[in-house]
Amino acid sequence: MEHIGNRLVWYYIPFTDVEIPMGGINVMTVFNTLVVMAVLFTLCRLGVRRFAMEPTRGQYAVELLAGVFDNLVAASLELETREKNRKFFYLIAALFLFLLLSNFMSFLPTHYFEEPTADINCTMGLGLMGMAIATYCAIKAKGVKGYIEELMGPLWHQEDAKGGALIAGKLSALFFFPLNIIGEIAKVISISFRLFGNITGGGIIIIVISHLVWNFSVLSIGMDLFFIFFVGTVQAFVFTMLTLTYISVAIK
Amino acid sequence: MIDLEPQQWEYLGRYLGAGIALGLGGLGAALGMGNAAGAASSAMMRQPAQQGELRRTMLIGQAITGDASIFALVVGLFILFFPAVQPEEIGGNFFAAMLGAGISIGFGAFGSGLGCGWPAANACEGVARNPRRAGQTTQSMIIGQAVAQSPSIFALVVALILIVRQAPGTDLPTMGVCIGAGIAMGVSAIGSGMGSGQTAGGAVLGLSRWPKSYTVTLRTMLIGQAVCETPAIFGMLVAFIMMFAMQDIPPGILGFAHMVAAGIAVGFGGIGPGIGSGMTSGPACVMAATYPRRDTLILRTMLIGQAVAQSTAIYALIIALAILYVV
Repeated sequence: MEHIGNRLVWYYIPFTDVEIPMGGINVMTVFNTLVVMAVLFTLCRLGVRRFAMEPTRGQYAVELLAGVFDNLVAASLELETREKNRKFFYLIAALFLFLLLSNFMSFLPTHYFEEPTADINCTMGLGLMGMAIATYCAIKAKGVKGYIEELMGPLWHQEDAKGGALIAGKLSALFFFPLNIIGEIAKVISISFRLFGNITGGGIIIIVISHLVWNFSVLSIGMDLFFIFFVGTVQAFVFTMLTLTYISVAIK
Repeated sequence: MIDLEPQQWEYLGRYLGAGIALGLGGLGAALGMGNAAGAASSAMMRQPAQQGELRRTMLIGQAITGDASIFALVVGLFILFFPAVQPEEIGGNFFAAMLGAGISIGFGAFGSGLGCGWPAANACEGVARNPRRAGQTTQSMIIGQAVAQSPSIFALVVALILIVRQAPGTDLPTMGVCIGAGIAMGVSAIGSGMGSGQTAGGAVLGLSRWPKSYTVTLRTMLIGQAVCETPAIFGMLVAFIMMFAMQDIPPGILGFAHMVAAGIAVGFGGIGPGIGSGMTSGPACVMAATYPRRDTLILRTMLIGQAVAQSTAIYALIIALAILYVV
């Protein structure tokens, strides 16, 4: 039980007395993130090493995966051309594969490989990234004025009988504007804490159950399969789909 | 101030906490399992030839529904048998930690258990209606139930943190932190569990009638469930802030009141939005299965409706944060 949340944090830059701002760097998370990226890059690179009309097994797997995400992005965003969808396809596919491998990581029975997604800093960073991209897309699609007017609430464009602006409609922005801003922040909180809570909780349940059943390890293996592979896949997909949904709501 | 011996505090906390954990945690799962069994019975009378398949679906559904009560059982065992860190220094803080853990997992498992019953019941009806697609119906049920378990997993995390981080001695602000965090997490998970369960139920119902719209329905279901779980995430956020990020809590009864009041605000404020979002996304999933080509329209309408339903949870979160930081 003592291992929960036991992480290696650098509070100072190594071999110096300089303090790292914002409470230090979580070295374990950074290291595991880099490991996931390296594995992902190697696998994809190996898959498309010898590109051929008659695909090898690896190339076929990569192409299948890419096709699934291409269709998913196209169905969700419904942009005019395939090239415009393609821009988001890279983001979405990379996000899903990264989260998938990150969630699977604690299956390795060593002490140093922990899921980076069980650290709130990692999931919060990914959530902020998704929100920033969605906001950028919204501003690009509607302009700064359109984006701010949307934050002012549904009554902003209300008109009276003669077609003039309605004072009450403008005043309602005092109520809607803070609410919408908090709603945007709440989106980041909910998307990042959901992934963090599920992955951390799965890890804690596996430790606790293994602790309780002790020698009857078949049950622990079953728990591993359920909480790491099944819940990990579902939560990675949920995170990716929510990011995609935020973007698709922003650009329409 | 109540003055008790260390051993009296210990027994009080352990028995009360374990009782609340198992009493409430078992209640929801039992209701959900009964729901599934009832649906399976009526489905079996309609399709007696499919009784093997139906019994299998019912048992799988009930087993996953029972997960929530197994979480409660695990935490209950911890509450009863986890050794005190400093046995001679046990006081009110130990009592509050155990009570908070019991409240957290008890209420949290209640919502998830009750919610997971709906997809199981609808899957039984769906297998009877469309026996050739039984595998796909069971598959969608398992995915929906696994996501609907999330609120109880959050509650388990908070409960175990409370148990492990028990403090020695007796002081009112720390007791307030433990009980407030338990209420914030546990009670807000009720609505989320029920809402996500209802969403999964709608998706399973729709898929058993229109099996071809599998991808679209599953996507709508996952997004709907994710939004339903937002109140529980707010509760978890407030519980984490209380446990890890509070610097200066006012001393005495005032600090106790701050913490418990913030927990009550975000906890009880989260019940309605969770259930309400489930009422939105359940029918939306049925409709997404019926008209898979209109999925963008359904998704957008569902998201707008849920965003409005969520606004009360956001008010509750604002009030809780104001109690913690401003007042």
